[in-house]
Amino acid sequence: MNTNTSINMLDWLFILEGLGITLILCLCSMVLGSILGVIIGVMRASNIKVVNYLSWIYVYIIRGTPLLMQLFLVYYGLPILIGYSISAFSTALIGLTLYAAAYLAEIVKAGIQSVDVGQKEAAKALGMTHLQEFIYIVFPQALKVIIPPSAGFFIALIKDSSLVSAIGFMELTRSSKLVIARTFQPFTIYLIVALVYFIVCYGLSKLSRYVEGGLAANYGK
Amino acid sequence: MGNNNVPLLQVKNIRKNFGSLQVLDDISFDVNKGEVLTIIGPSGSGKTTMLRCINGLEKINGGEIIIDGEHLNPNSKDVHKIRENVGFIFQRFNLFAHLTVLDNLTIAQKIVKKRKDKEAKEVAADLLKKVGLSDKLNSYPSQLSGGQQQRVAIARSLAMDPKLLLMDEITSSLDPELVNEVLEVVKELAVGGMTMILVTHEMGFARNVASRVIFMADSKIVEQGKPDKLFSNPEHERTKAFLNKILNH
Amino acid sequence: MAYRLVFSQILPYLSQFLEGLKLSVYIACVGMAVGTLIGIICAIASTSEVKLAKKIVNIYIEVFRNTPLLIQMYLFFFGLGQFNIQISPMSSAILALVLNNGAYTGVIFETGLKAVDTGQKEAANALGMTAFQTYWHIIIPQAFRIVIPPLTNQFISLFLFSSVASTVSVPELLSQTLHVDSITMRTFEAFIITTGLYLIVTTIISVVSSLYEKSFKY
Repeated sequence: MNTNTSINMLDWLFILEGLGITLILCLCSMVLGSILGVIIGVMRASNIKVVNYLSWIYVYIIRGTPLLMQLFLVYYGLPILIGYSISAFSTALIGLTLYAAAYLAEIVKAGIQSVDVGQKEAAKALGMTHLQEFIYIVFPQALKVIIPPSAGFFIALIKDSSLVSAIGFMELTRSSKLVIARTFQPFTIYLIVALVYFIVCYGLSKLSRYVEGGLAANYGK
Repeated sequence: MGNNNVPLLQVKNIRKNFGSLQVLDDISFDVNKGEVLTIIGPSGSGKTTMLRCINGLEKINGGEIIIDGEHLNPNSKDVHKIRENVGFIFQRFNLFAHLTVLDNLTIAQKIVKKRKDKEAKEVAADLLKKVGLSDKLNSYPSQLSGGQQQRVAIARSLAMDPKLLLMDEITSSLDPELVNEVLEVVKELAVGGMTMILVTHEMGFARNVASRVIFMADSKIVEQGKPDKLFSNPEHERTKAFLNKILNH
Repeated sequence: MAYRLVFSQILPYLSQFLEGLKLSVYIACVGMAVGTLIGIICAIASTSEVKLAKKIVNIYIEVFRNTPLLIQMYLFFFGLGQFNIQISPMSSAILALVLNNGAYTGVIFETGLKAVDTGQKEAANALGMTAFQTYWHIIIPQAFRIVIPPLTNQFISLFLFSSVASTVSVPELLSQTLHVDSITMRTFEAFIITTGLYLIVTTIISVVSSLYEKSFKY
């Protein structure tokens, strides 16, 4: 039996691999969540009562309940609904995507509503259809307002993704648990994991602030 | 203090830069007790900055400011004491949004001048009567018009018994029909002998109420003199050009 | 796939859900109360002139805002075991939540103080008030109203994230839900009840906060 419990190279690689998986999971959820989020966000900004209400219910439920609960619901409930079991990755992806979509939808809605009414009126006066007005005038300007908080949400998503370890998905946090099981050094390992999350999240925040600063200068605002 | 031979305010060779931009270039002038000085000039000439330097809201980079015989040192911890003698009225009123009109008038009296509540309230009521707003004692600033807010702001500064009042374009944020009620109050103060420096665009007012006018441009004093003379027969080209533009549009 | 909702099998366990809810609310309240105090201290430190205080507060805030709550809880519950220190699940959870919340409220208060119109500060200065008087009488009362919406969101977030305590075996609401599910196998019924309970609490918090904010006269 191997009694060597010190941290070795394999452990580091294992943790790094976990980080890679975390990042891939978050990127995928963010992309899918953005697509769904834009759709729901547009529905939230719509004047059609039914459309607005349906999207509101979705956002209300997701934002009013814990992410961890949603993950467990997908984990236990989805297999029952569709009749066969699904992989841990799919569960994590679905849970995080639905979660991201709700939060991004509100950001998108706020962005759309922030566009000056005068812009829309000018578009109408020039004869644009509602769809053209949205694609060429409203959405491009809304994007400016949508991107900064979305970047912030992505960073939060990376932290929140640690919760998928609870449903058994092997990302950064769960990988570290295995290393701990072997080395019996929970403090050291969790500290390292915290450091990894910190470097990624803090780094991304600084980067996004730098980019925002550059963009603002370019647009002369 | 009250030496009538020494000017109430002495500004000597003051300079100010914001980074590499020179905003005030060797400015000097005096103000005697009871004078009403108006400062006119194009935007960016440094007028507002100079006013803010006089009560220490901005720090000068050179020169001296002497108020009633005392040097103003904006770096000292006691700079706020100078402000007990010098009142400042802002373009955007800056009334304390969370306090009623009465509280706006009494708060500084109580915590800065350490007056008792009863006395502070009496002073407040008296001043509100003078500016014609006695019925607004318990209103909040958000419930008042611009002109009313500015009159309250003037009363608030007066409650501190200042020796000198500085007014920074106090009618520029007001709708035209509200400007007069504020100018009326200022006129009464002038008649009552309050020493005042006004930065203003209201040329008619500057001409009628001021005892002296200073024309500033490009961070320097170009010309100063009695209003009648400066307005009808300016000496400098720059002054002529400015007055032409302003008075003929 | 046919699934019939049979609530009758869940109802006997309703009291367990409520016990869990009570605990979730308790954890969130403690976390908010102590965390807010820490946040106020952070905001005061960051507006002071003492460089060391500013640095320490800045490091604290960045560390706790850029690492997951889960890891913070694990460090207290599992991590300290490396030094043969055992603290209870509740204590670990509350400690982590308090420190995490303190960092977020610190930023909220700092931002709130800065958001008060600078003209108010200038007017106070012009009237001769000292820096302390300006903060105490003019800036802080106005910042108070400004911070209510973000603080409310933070409280709701805190309440929802109290569910993370289930991973260190605290018997709060989510923990109870999973427990009842494993016994009765009525997954959807159990989660529907829990969803309802979480939504009721978060909605109450929002509504009360909104009413309170509207009651301000300014």
